[in-house]
Amino acid sequence: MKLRYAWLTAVMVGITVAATTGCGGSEPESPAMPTLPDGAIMLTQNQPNRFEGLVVVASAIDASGADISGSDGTSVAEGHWVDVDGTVEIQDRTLRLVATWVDPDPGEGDGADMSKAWVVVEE
Amino acid sequence: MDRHTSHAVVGKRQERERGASTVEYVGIIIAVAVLIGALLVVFPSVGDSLADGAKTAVCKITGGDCSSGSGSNQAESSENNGTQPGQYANASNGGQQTTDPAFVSQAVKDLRDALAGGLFGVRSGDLEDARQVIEALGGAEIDALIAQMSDDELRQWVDQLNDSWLFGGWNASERRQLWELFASRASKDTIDRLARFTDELQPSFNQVGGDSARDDPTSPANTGQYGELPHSLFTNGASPDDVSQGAIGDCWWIASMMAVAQANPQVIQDAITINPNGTYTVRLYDQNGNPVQVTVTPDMVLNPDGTPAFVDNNGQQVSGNYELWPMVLEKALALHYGEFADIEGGNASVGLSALTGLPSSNTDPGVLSAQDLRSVLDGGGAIGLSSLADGTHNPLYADTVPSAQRLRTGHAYYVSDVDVAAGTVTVVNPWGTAQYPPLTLTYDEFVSAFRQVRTNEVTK
Repeated sequence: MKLRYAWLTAVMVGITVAATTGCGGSEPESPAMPTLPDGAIMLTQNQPNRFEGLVVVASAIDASGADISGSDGTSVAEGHWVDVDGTVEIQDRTLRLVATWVDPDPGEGDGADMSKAWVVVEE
Repeated sequence: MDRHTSHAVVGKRQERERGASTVEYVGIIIAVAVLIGALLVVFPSVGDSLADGAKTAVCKITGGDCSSGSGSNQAESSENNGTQPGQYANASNGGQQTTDPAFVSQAVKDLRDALAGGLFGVRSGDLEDARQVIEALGGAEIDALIAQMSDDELRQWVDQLNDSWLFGGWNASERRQLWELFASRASKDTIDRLARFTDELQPSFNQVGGDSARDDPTSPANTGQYGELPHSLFTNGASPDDVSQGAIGDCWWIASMMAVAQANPQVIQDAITINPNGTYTVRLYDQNGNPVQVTVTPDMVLNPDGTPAFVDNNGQQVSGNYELWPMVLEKALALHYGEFADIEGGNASVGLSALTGLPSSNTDPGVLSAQDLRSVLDGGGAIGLSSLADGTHNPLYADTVPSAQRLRTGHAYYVSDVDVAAGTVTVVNPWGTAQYPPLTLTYDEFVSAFRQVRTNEVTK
């Protein structure tokens, strides 16, 4: 009988722990979203975004930088890897990469990675 | 025991029995009240239905106006008197711009009767009665009917459709059939008004980009607005060059559309029907290969500068006139899935099947020879691709490769050509051929550079 109570207690404790911490372990901790300067434009990984007459896309985003490319939408894209706080020239416009955020749970599907890069178009 | 005594005893017994009956009745009433109370707590919508049923019953007995919110109905009706309902740019009258007031009045009465439900609320059968009322009407009659319904009535109808109560509510597929009637027949004003109460007529986009985009003021999820582009549905048919991905993670769908447009443009053209009210009905296929009809309005999610926020025309629009078919198909898929955020992340096998109704075959790249790939294309098929998740060790993904020719990880592509003699495979990035021209790889490079090859018949 004591063994039965011990099992029961263990099960109850297990359920309580699972309920309070989440089954399957804790969620991956999301990196903090960066503080952004005014005018920063958000780019989501592999999603071409249109702004100020440009079509710009960020890919291979990580904590240190991102691959930024684009054009005016009708000519061949240009661009390259940029470290955070670095710049890239697209159609004679200077884009500064001001921050990145890496999706901690990007999923498996094509286009599912929601990592972000923020750029500012410099005057 | 004398007769008096006997009477007295019987009388007392009857009093006791009366007393017992009263106690029992009170007990039953309390039990029923508790039961109803519990039901109302668990299923609040039942309370609305019961209240509506009671109100309708009382109103019928007293001979009053049995429509709920009738005051606002009259106000809205008078507002709409003499006004021409708004239309989409390409709408034609379709011979439906006349109404029979008596017919519409009867339809309004029938609809309200159906939506009043019975003692146990509005059941699935009542909703079907309501749908049949709508089905019997032409576009202008639907407009006139909806103009007579108050916002409260429309909101309540949507709530009833979404009700999860055991015998109430409809599933998404059933609701779609109802919304299809409105979307394919009603005016822009009517559709816009109904869309205030449901996302099942205009797919929402405020979750695009994930949680991390929600608070960003520059995210299309926050800056986007529905608006109508100057457009034709097709200009010289459908072509992969009409398409370029926008700010949404549906590369897999864009690549699928481009691959099918290359394999057989007629499949794309046949998938879209123009309705007299200016909306488009798209034939997609569900995961079992069954056709599903999804009707979308021609207004699309636009950036603040009026350009499309999501799929675009690869810079090919002529004199500012957009070729709308890629936008129509993307919006239809979003509506079919629920909302735009639901189409972020996927693979081309799902997209190709949704467009063709035919199953897709997924293989590792090395399984199919160059000749096999060529045979798929020669047979009128389409080939979608998934790029590597990590391109660190593949030179085709390296930063030393010019940007327009570099492969991107976690991305969908499609195969546009295979030259068996030269041993090359040409792949296309769905960001658009104007900026990212087709890229010709050796067969070995191709095998090393992709994770999955997805082949699909386009027509049997």
